[in-house]
Amino acid sequence: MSIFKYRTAFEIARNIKAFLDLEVGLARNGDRGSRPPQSGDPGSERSPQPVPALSGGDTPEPGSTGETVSKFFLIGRSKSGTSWLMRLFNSHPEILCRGEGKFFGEDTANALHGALARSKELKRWLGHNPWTLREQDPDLEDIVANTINYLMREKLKKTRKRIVGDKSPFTTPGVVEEIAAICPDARVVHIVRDGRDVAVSSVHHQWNNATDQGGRRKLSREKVAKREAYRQGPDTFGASGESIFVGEHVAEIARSWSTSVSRAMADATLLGENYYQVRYEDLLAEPVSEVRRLLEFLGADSDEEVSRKCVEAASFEQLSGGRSKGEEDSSSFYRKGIAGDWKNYFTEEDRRVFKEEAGELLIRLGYEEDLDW
Amino acid sequence: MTAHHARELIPSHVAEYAVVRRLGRAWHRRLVGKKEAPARSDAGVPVPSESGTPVFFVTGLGKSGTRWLMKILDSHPEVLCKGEGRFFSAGWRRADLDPANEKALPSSLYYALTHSEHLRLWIERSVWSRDGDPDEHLVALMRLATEYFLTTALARSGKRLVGDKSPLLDEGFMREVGAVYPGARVIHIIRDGRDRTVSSLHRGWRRASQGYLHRLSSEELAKGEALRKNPRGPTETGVFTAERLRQAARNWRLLVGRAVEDGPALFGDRYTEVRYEDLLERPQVEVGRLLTFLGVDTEESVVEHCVSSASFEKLSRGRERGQEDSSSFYRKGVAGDWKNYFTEEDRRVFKEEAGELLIRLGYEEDLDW
Repeated sequence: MSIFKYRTAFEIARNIKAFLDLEVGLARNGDRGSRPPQSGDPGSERSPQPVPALSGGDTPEPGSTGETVSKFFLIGRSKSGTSWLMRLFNSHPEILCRGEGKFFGEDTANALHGALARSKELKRWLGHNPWTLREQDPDLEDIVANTINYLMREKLKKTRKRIVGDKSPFTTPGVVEEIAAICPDARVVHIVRDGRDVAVSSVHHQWNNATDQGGRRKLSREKVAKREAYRQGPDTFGASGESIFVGEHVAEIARSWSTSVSRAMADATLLGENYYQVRYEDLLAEPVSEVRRLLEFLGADSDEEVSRKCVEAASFEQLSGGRSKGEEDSSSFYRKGIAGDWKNYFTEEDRRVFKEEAGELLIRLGYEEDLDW
Repeated sequence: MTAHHARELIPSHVAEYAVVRRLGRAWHRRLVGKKEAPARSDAGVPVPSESGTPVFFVTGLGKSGTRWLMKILDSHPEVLCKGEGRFFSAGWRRADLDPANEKALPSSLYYALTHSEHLRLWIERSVWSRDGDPDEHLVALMRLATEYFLTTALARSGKRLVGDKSPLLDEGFMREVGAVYPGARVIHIIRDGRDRTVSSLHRGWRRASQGYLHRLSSEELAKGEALRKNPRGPTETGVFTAERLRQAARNWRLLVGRAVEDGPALFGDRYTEVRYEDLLERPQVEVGRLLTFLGVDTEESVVEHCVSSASFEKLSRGRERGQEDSSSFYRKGVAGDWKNYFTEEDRRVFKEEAGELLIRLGYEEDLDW
């Protein structure tokens, strides 16, 4: 292996990247205004500010062992369509999107950041490092950032694609803040779904992931009984007026949905132009036009035909193995794929509880106009 | 390097250090079992470029002049040299590391990365890394972190090359650097094992008198006290306990002996050695040679500047070489001082443990000394 080869390859990659950055920059500036503002979209209340250019033009970031890749993170509360959108992105000829990398979560032992933060030896090493650049924690974050960039770049290299994304659902409340601190140059797509549908979907998901179904979740006897009753006859169950939620479950989901989604939206200011929020329901109603806007945001080819192909590749029919939307398979990850299904499940009491816990966020996101539902 | 040779690289239980192999065991087996530095794998771990890296390492056993050499190199306008980063030596851990003592020196970065159970599990599970070899990912991570700290500091300094003074802590050192940084240059400073043993003992006494952690027994402390009272006395009673001298001689033989074998085998012409004694005797020539080895400016005035800014007089703040201050890190700065300390019995023990290496390194012609 000659030096020449290595240097040339590196320089070519750098030039291509600089060129793409330029193009992406133009495309993104040109079409920003066309996105209809959404209620609660933090992006709509701010004047555009320059994107922090960590990857900056021609000069590689000192210390990085290679170019920074164009990367994004797809975030959202679980059961909000993150897997769907991941597959949709991944079918794009320029985008590699996988999940879940579990990069973020300083307090989560099974996340990269948390694993490194938990190493007492590493902490001590950083504290005594004569090469230390700043305070201890930023150094740790730099190690995380380098690792993420390296792993994503290596995977990307094996494809013909040029943009790479990780599906990073809310396993940690401060995910947006962490991304802003660790990967300030990354883009973030936040998919939001009506919390009531999230609640219904979560119950089905729990049912399917119970230990007696080969999953890992320990389900209480009460919940198992509920599942069996439902599956005996979903229609009669619905007509009986019985709730599918056991105990405090609906309140817990409403609370966690409200907290995690609001937190991500509040922290979005840290990302500025690099944050984009999309509603599951809009993606369902107007898939092609929504996807075009998303692709524009990611700096990918957003041609209508390309977008349509992405939508088709990740259609409910494809993902569910042949069922059409609304045709339920309670045991499938792609169960029903519709919006507003909560109405078939929520009892009066469920509504009351949900309003109390998360009614305001429903209004902010445009799902309701008031608390009168 | 032969497989037989490679097998010998397993860090043995070196007396001064405790080699901790727990989670690192699998990693060690793998490292030791490999004949060559890892090449590109299916996992996509990059082959570090064979040259073109601005990174080099200055290594040497403790009390062999590593800090002196570091200062010489750092005073060159194109070279940034600091220490100790403690990047390498995954199998090394301070035996006396007190977890409650935040000021105690850390284990190496490599130790931290290879012994983090959470990190290993994450690598094995994450969608971005699970289809690769976890050990190779760890090597890549090690490279990333090392490169990051060194080259970021380099960029800020405005210099061209960056080197870490990395003490030779265990027998695996050269192989680790070779696996992580096959393109780096390595300078190995070697000192007569007898002198470094004397120096090491003085360091122990100094630390004990200043209230720092030390490993000396009460017998050794008493010997130090006796020496302080009667500086002319040592050769009659000796300053070493038999076990201490034997350990030190063995340690020198094992670590230095291994490094002089592995260095050329792994790094070829990117490895060089310098003897403390030669650096003392003809500093201009040796420093010029080392600067040429690094590929930086070797103009006479530059060499002179490097030599003079790290002279014993400067470092010791005004003492001349040979003028001893046993309370100073830069104590005496001479070669051959061991003769003032070694008893007949000390000589016999050292010959037995490391006599051959003294000959191989040119310090003696035979065992008849």
